[in-house]
Amino acid sequence: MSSWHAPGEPATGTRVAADTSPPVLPPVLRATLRTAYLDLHLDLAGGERVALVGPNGAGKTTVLRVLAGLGTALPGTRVVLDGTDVTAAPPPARRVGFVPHTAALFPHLTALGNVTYGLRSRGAGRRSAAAAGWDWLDRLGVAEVADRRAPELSAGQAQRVALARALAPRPRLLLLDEPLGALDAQTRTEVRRLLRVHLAAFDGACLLVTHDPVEAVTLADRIVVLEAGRVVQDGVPDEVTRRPRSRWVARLLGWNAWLGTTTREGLAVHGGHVLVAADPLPAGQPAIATVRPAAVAVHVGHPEGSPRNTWNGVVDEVTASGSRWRVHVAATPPVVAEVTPAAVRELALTEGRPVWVSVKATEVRVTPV
Amino acid sequence: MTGRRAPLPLLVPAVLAVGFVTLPLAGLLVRAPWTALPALLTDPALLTALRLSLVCSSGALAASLALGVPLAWVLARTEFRGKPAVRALVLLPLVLPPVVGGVALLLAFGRAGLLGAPLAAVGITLPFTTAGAVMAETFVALPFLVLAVEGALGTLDRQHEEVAATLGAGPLRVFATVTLPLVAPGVAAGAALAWARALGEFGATVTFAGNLPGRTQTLPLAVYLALQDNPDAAVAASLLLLAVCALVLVALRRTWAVRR
Repeated sequence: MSSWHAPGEPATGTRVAADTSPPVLPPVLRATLRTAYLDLHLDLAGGERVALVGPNGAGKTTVLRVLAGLGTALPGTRVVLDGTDVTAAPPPARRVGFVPHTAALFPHLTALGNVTYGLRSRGAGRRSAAAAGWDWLDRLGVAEVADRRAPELSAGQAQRVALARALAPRPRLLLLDEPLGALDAQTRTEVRRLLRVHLAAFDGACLLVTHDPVEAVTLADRIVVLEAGRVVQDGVPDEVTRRPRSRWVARLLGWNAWLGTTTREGLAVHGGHVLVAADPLPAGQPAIATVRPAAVAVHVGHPEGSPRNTWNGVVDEVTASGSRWRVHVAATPPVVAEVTPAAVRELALTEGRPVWVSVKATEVRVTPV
Repeated sequence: MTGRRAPLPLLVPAVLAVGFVTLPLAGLLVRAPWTALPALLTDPALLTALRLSLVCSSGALAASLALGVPLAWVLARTEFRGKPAVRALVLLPLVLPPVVGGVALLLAFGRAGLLGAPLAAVGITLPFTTAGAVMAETFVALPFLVLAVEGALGTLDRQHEEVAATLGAGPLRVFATVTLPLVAPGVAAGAALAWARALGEFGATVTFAGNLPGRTQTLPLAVYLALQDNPDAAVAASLLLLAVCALVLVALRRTWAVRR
């Protein structure tokens, strides 16, 4: 085994020693995008599954297109795949699999024809491509529709065939654009399970764009939150869901989230109100305060007892979600409380009702942004 | 009956328009020498003209496809300076009087023409030959095909082509295996229109290729000549052309139904 060294530079003892330590694998993907609308860097290791989330217009689709090499090359971008700079390489010269939002199966080909397309394009013979294609369809549980043309497939089957088609040529980077977005609730659960199994077995890097927090948390082992072209949070799902650093993620999780500036007590929310937190950060920095709706208590009169945060407002809307009902209160700052249907009845919480809300200081989580 | 009743000022011109188109066709059908038709249609001269018409229009269609589909792709998918000018130039034969097209072809490919003189020097003569008739018909038919295919390419969802590219297919392979099959209905519609236009071509053909029976005298030319001394034969040949065109329309309707 030869160690790498620059030409003319002698292989030193330290380099030999480095050979004996466990090898640090270079990332499969190393991408930098600094354009007019984007400013981010992505490193994805082999076997890593990263969810790219964020509001519409955050630049998620542009990131996918740059990585796949679609469209005209954007200045300020650099894509390195397995150590090779492919920034200027056209899509066929990159080993990137792409599953668009709508599956986009070739309508004039059968399911098998779709799956073998990449293999044939990369030079496989008809027979070996067909064998591999059958194998992939079988693995994804859609072998029985191999001879059907794409328009005859159900949405769930189409999504599986699209995944098989992307995986068959053994890409190093797999890009999924809202892979479950076009499916109904039941099919979504089914395909999500399947996706989880197959992404776990995939040894390349996987980047999936999604709007669905459940999808991000269950499919990815890292979540990158993109807002206005910038990464606002990059962490394991647990951390992102427990300490969301963007209003968008917090809202997505159904949490109350307020941006503001930290004070010695907690957070001065934009608009004036100060939220008291049990665990405040050093004062004077931008931060986000999050509160679970279930931790918000609703009262018809001024609450008694010890809650540190109380303010009043008017019920704006009441929505039912399972056994807990969500009460939206128009106040400064606005807040959502989750209460039992019984409480809604007892307190007569209907639109226009003046109420007080209270939140314990221990329930206010302040995270720097 | 569903839908609204048309107001009279719109209804009357609309009915007149239908009548204006229908009446000549009715005339053709009413005055057709139905009893003599079998004999007229099997007349060797007519069959020769028909055969030549089919050969020339098919040749023109083949040439239009070979040149027009790539041209449509270039117009729909690439950006270059002077693209509007190129498009206008290609579409010019749509509005140009065919006779002018024939004169222009003579000036380019005639014995003393721009390209005709060097061609004649190496022994290739195009005017007043069957090849010349094919060229004249291609000249007028090409824009129909380009328009139809460019339109189909313009409305095509690019996603399929992009996926094909990520799967390792180069531009030419993507074109042949994805783009072309997806715009096939548009190509078929354009081909039908182009072929019908080539079949009926008169002005450019007679100007550039002449009127030589068996070589350049296509069915429309034969009809025009026959009208002088054998009107019945002219009507029979016209019926034949009408039937062929009706078939094209039916074929087109089916393609359009598929696209919908």
